[in-house]
Amino acid sequence: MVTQFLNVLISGIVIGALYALAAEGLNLIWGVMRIVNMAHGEFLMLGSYVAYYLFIAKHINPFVSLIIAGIVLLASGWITSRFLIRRILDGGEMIGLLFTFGLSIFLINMGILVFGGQFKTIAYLSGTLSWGPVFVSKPKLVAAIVSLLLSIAMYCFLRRTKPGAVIRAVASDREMAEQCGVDANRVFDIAFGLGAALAAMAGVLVSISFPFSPLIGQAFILKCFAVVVLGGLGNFLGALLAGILVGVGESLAAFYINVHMSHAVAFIIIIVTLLVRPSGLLGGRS
Amino acid sequence: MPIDVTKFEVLKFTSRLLFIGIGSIIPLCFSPYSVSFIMSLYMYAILAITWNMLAGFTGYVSFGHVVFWGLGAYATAILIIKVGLPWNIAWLLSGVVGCGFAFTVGIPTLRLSGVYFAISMLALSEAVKVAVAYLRGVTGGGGGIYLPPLISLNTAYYLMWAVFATVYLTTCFLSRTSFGKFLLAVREDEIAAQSLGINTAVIRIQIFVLSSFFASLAGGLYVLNVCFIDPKTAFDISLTIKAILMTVLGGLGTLEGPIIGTLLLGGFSELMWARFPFIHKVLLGAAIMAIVALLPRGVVPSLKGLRWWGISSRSTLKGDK
Repeated sequence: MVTQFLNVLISGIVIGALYALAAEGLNLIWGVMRIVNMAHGEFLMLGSYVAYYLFIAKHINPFVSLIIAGIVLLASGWITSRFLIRRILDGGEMIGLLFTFGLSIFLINMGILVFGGQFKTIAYLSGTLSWGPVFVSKPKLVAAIVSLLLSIAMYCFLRRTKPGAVIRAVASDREMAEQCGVDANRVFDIAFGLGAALAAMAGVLVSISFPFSPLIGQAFILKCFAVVVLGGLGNFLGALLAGILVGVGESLAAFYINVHMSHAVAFIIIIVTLLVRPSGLLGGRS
Repeated sequence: MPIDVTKFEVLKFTSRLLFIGIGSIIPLCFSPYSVSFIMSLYMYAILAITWNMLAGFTGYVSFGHVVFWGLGAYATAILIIKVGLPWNIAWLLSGVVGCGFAFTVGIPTLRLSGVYFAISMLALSEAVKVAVAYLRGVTGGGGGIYLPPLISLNTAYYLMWAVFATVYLTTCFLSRTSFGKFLLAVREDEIAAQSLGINTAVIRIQIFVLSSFFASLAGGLYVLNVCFIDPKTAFDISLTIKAILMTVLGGLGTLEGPIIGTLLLGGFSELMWARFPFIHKVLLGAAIMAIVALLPRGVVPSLKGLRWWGISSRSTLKGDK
């Protein structure tokens, strides 16, 4: 009983760390630009494929690809924001939602055309670690630890460095930041690029621990929403905590109720949080 | 209060009736392929108009509108296969099921605002999809439900046409009533509307239930015509998106916008589907981005204020002296 529970708990925490990393990018873009990026899951998917092709073609270690994918998506996110998102920023939340949804459909179907629709895996790490009756698969554990480290690094970047402070300034009051000489549009481009890079790095970590296809982003996006809502908009530590809670909630539901029901957990979390505590667990905008 | 009827409004009313009337003779002069294509346009138009009822008139943008369509389809199929009802009763009951569901989920979700409502509706449609796949005993699970062919194409066409005409005329009628004005008040400033004594919570629930009633009927007709439904088709998010896009393209919050958008986008989509079967979804995604970025107000508002055949919307029947 207890060991079963422990196993479920650990697998929940491990997947939850990935959700947290993916959701932090969404959170950053949402908090800074007021754009709910529906294409966020597709940035994650692109990250997975960058790692896949680097591994297949050049036998590059996925942990090196982590950096490469981050840089590639940072640049693509910057370009997307500079040339596309900037045009629709004044249109309001709904326009942003619709526009990024179009981007998401575009990227998914481009992905299917270019990469093919079948599932891919990267056979980089395999095997499990065990402490007595408690097991955890090696690639998932590594992915979780790396994503925790990346989350902490991102948190320190936003909290402790000057560019991070500028990003937070624009997030909390755009006009005031502009009064102080910050070019908000440039900050938006950087925030969008960083958000995309976080998603891509989560994607690389997903690629070593799960089979993936161009549709993988859709599986992640609702969970990312749940994490952002539960953690509080703009709250980084909240997202980390919420990611782990969503992961654990899902794996408990999958084990004790039904695998299908685990997909409903994200929805229930979104609704309950919004009704009971709309500012999220730790409150928004820390 | 006497209604000030203008020449322009008479023209508008007759052209509306004419536009609806044209639909009645289509099966007489076109091939079955065209009839089923036009029927699908009517279905999209119903979804777009009902989505517009909520989003355009009250400002609540739903990203899970398809859930009512899918539930209508499933309710019809289950009532026929498992309960053994005749198709027409099952179909009408599916509308009631849609209403009941809308009422139940509307109470919590309509308290949310803006993006949060949109996302929770998206999550709701995904959750219902999962639940339907899970309840294998009732819904047939992921494999879906098959129906025997019960109605001919022409019957399905005329019913879809009738639902379309009803929903279209209903929105036209609503926009003239005090209820319609209340809706606009909720959209423009909810707090101001409340302070004037409008019970905004009740208004929102009412329009939500009404819009899901017609969406469910459209879903029921779809399954009666196609004879098969599975969770993937029934709760396909791209259907929601098409309805949204058609409305936005035509003009959010206008009466004719959803229809014009349906004609434009439905035609475009059919053309693309026939020419480029493999990349049409890529093009659809690109079209969404282009429309949103270039025409965020839609076609209809851009046309307003033009003079049509020398009659501007200001001139009255007695002539303007």
